[in-house]
Amino acid sequence: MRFLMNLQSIDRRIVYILLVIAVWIPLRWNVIGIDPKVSKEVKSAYDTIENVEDGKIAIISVLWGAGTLAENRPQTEAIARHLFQKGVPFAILPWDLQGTTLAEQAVERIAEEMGKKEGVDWISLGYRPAYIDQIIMSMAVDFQGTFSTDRNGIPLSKIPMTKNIKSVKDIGVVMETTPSNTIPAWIQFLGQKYDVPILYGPTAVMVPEGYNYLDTGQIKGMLPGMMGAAQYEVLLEHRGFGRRAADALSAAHLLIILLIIVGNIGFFMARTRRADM
Amino acid sequence: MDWIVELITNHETALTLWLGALCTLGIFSLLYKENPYYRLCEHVFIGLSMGQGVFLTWDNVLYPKWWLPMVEKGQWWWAFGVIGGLMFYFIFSKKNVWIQRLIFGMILGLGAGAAFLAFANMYFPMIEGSFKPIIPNVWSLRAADPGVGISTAINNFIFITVLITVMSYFFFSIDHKAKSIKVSAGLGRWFLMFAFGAMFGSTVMARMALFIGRFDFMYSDWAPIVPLWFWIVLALVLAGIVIYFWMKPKPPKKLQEAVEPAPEPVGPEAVTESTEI
Repeated sequence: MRFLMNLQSIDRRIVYILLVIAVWIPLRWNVIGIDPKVSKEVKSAYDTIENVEDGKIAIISVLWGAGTLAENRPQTEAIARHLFQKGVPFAILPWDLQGTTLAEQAVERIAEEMGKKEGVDWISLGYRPAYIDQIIMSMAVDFQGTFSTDRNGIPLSKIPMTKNIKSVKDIGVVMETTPSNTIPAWIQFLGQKYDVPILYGPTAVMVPEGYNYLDTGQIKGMLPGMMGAAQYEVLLEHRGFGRRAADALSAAHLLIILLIIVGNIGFFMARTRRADM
Repeated sequence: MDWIVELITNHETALTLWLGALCTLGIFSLLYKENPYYRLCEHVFIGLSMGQGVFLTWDNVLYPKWWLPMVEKGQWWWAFGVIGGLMFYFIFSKKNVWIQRLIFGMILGLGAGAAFLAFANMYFPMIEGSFKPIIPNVWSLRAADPGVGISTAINNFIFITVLITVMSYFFFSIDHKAKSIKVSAGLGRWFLMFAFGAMFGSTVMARMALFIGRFDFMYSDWAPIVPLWFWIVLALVLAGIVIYFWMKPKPPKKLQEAVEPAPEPVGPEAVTESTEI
């Protein structure tokens, strides 16, 4: 009885150790090995990129940093990989100090792996302080004037990929990867106004809010957190971090559900004991 | 100094991994207890972010966008940017505080103008999207396209019920004593609780994903380069710390109360104490 009562106050450090074990086993042995089922919103994001018109570029907006790297980086990588596969040139638009370096490194790695060249297949517009509204409004009418150079200081008019990109008419899709509530800016000043397809890569915390925009058609697709990236990797038939980590995430969730049940057993036992006394 | 540069260049990857791992361990050490190692890592992170911020802001924004045009291209009017920027600092002057109001007023005006557009593009599609058909015109259980199938009609009915009941919960102009509004608002409250539960579940998923990201770095990237002796030393140190805190004699109750101040009273006692002058 006492043992069962103690279940409601397990030392948090024991919980941490159990969590480490629960995460380590699937990462080490791939014991579950089930690919996540692709959801409608992820498939819709995939189809949007499949349908980008020739001659248009994509924009990957990067608003994440080291804090949400595990969720937003796999999303960024999955989208970049798809754009490379499809042959759609894209520009990284980083608004976060750490995200600038992290996203550029991630794309450099994939570009090297897939034999893609900076300036031809992708560019980085370099860090921009996050006055998102103003920059979106400005780039919609004058892309070259808003950014003028890439991260290396080369004028956009001299880069093969961007020399013909003048305004919003040349943008085929925008992917926003973010842990913050920044998607409204893209919807308000680009998606709704100029009918540019917007895709959303939020962290899991922000996912419930994203379904509102999805339901109204204000965004065309969404990659919900790390699981969204894992589902996208399934569509790309590529096994990256998202798919490897999906099993570990499931195991961690199972542990948490188990701990909730165990804690409640302890709670009811204690209450029964008090009622008997 | 050359040997240091050579050492760093030759072992760049290993050094990066070791620094990353040591900082990760330092930050995670908080899970056990507040300690100086955690504080050190926290301050290193803040300092690095600030330093990187200053560099990137100058290198990616101010130098190419402001300094170069002003100094090398003869666009002298960019100098007025400095005056605009300095105007913000008059917030610290009691006598000339009106100067900062000019620049703040300009920014507020710009923001308010953009807000009209933002509101219309954001919420009108949402209002439009909330008008959904609840009577099916295709008598099939599966979703029909085009047309409204039975399952879609049921979904839409649930959506509209939730929308109306939740809105009635936030309708404060009349007292919630009438049975109709009482039941509706009560239902709305339940639906809100479901939504909060879903959000909390997403938050747990996000936190787990972040942990898995860090754990994967430690396990897949760092652990393979770690020599065996390090694991033995680490295990001994960790065991030593745990044993130290385990065996450490706890201070007598009275002394403990003197060291740790008693928690602040809550409830009626707190009200009585705080109102006594």
